[in-house]
Amino acid sequence: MRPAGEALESWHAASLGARVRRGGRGQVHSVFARAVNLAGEHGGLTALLAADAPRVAHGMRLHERHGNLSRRFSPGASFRWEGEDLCIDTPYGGDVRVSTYGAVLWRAPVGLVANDAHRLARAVQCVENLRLARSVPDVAALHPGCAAARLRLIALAEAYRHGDARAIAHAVHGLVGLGPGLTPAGDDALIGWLAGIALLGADRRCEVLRQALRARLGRTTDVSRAHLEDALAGEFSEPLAQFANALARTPAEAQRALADLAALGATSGLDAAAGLLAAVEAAMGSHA
Amino acid sequence: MPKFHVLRKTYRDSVTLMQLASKLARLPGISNASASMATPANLDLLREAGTDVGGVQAGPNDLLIMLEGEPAAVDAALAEAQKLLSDRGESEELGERAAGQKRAPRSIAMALAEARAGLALISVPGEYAAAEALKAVNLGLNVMLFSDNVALADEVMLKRQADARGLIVMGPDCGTAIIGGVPLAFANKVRAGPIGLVGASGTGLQQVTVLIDRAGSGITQAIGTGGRDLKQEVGGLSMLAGLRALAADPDTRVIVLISKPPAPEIAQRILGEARRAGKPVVVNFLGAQTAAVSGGNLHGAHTLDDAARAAVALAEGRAPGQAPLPAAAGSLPKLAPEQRYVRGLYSGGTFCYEATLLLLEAEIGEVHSNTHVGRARDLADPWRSEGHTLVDLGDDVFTRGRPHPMIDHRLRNERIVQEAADPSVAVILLDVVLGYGSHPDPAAEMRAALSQARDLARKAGREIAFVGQVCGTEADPQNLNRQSAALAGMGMLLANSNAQAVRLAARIVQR
Repeated sequence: MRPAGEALESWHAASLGARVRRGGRGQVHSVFARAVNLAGEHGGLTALLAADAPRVAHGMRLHERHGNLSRRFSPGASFRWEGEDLCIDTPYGGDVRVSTYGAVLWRAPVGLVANDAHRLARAVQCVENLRLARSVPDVAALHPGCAAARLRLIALAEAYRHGDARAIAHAVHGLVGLGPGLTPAGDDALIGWLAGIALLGADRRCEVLRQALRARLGRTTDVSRAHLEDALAGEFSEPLAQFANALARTPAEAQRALADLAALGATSGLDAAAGLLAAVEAAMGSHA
Repeated sequence: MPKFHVLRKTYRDSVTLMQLASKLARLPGISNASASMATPANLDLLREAGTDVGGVQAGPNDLLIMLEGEPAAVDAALAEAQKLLSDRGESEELGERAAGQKRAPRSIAMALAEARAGLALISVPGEYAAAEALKAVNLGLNVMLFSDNVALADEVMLKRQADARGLIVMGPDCGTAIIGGVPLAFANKVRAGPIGLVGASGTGLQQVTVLIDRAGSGITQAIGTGGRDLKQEVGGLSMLAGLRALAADPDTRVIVLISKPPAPEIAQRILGEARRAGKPVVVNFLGAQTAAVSGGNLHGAHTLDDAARAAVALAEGRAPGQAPLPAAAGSLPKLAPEQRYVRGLYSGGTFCYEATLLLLEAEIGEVHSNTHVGRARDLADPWRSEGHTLVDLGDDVFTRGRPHPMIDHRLRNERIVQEAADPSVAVILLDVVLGYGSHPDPAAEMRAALSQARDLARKAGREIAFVGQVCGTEADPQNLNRQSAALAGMGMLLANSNAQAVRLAARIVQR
């Protein structure tokens, strides 16, 4: 076995999300086939993503495929930054050293359409088409948590339409951390909702929602929290941003982008899509 | 009282946890089970459902398993949960790697990372199937979607997505395909050869590929489309894609299309594409006039048997010939005057459909069926026969809560005995489907029922003709010769194909 600190393999990052902070040290939080989450000693997660994983703002994506990442790393292992290199201990002794030198800084902004009547009209039409085609399936039947998330999303939409700050906060409280998985369905829906807000522009109701959400980040899993923090900072995963932007282009592009988004996680992509569509409908269906 | 188990800092995706909870809830003695991250919202949800979670010490990053039921069952379920979770755990993953063992991938993307593939076979409950198929298409894979209960709108969306990427989605509810020589789902082991097939019918594809093999020829690909592909809403997208692929394939010299008659507009689109294939295309739209689907490079076939025969002839450069008169091994039984009716008990839907058409053509009287074909009368009660009756036992009404009759013969065996007790029955017509997916030894499975039925009739002074065909090949796991010999030994009159079996049955009751 190689001694810790010695490089076992050298990898390269192709891109760095806008919210990745290089430096410091910490421990491997959790490992999956296409992602390794790293918890910094001062808090916050950074994700090391496989070359074929969708990009996220708090993640750095590898340049080449290295197989199933969960077979390389184990939770609790140490990592540290050495300049531009991320070094992660492996169970086999030695480090995997990931160089970020030359990695592209990445972000996928959602373009505001509120001031462009044509794009806004297209987005609204696309949302309506997707709803009519039932392109976003109802995942509520899968688990009581998903069903409850869907009901609370409806409650949030109702509260948003009426600009009822208390009801908005109550709905957010019920949604955060609701659902069985690693990124609970309620969180995914809220992330989608924030993408919808980014598309249409913020208002007073939006600020109420953000404040309610910030105050409740401790009620969900660390991994989901990292995604919610990205979304609160106006940063979204690649397929979600692409879907939001495609809504303002053509129905065909929206449909294609939705298909890509649906491939995100087990049900995360579709839950986020449901949140985004609900946000657009709620915002367009009221004059608060 | 519910029992809780907390797994600290354990992370699983939602589908894994839903599957775990569902599996635990089905264990004997368990009345309720859940598995989710112990976020306050999820604990609230349990509280709202009346579960006391007061003593639970867990945070949002802990996995919480809740079980209710008999105490011993709860302990066993908890052990099962831990085992299931550790099977998927990272530590074991590393252990397996050290032992040089390979673990099954947990997603299509993971599978792709480990092996080159061009096709994903998806067999998950219908509610998840469209999402999985979409993932596969997005990863650049063709899809065979075995799952049923997929919404028509989802099928249209999936097929359009695939079409835009130059891919094909076979299904949903696609039960048969042979791709690159590999039989998938319910399919037979047949020779490689110059004939490519696209079919909207599983047993239709099985019959034609088997008969091609039996005639000494073979196939390039047998592409299934799913039963709804040729509906107006779907537009035959999979059949068109399959047709184009076979037209472009230099190893395919003859193409066979199999389907029930499509909507007229779709039929024209399919036939237009077939005319542009640049090679002979045998068209078997069961029940359609052959003249309407013939001309130029198109050769209409009336039955599945005719389609196989024509394809082999064309592949060998001969003109398609006439089907021979039905012949069957064994002597015909002597029937009493009151024995007038045919009762067909089918495990293959297309066999039943074709049989109903052919029995109507034979003009032996009214035909009742649950397959809704032409002039056939709908059965008032599918569980009871009347006059000439042909029943598709693979219909939903029979398969709710039990396996398909190709796998589980119990229902058909009971019906065989039920029909034998009816003094008006002359012929019991059966299909026996071999190949992957089917019962490992259908002849043995039918033995007791056939014997009981024969004894029952004999005690009443009657003989019943059991007529059938075995859809299979020598290379199938059940072996055609072994099955045929066993069935003939039980007194069954065996024809070479479904069409020939039906015509033989008609001749017996016409005597």
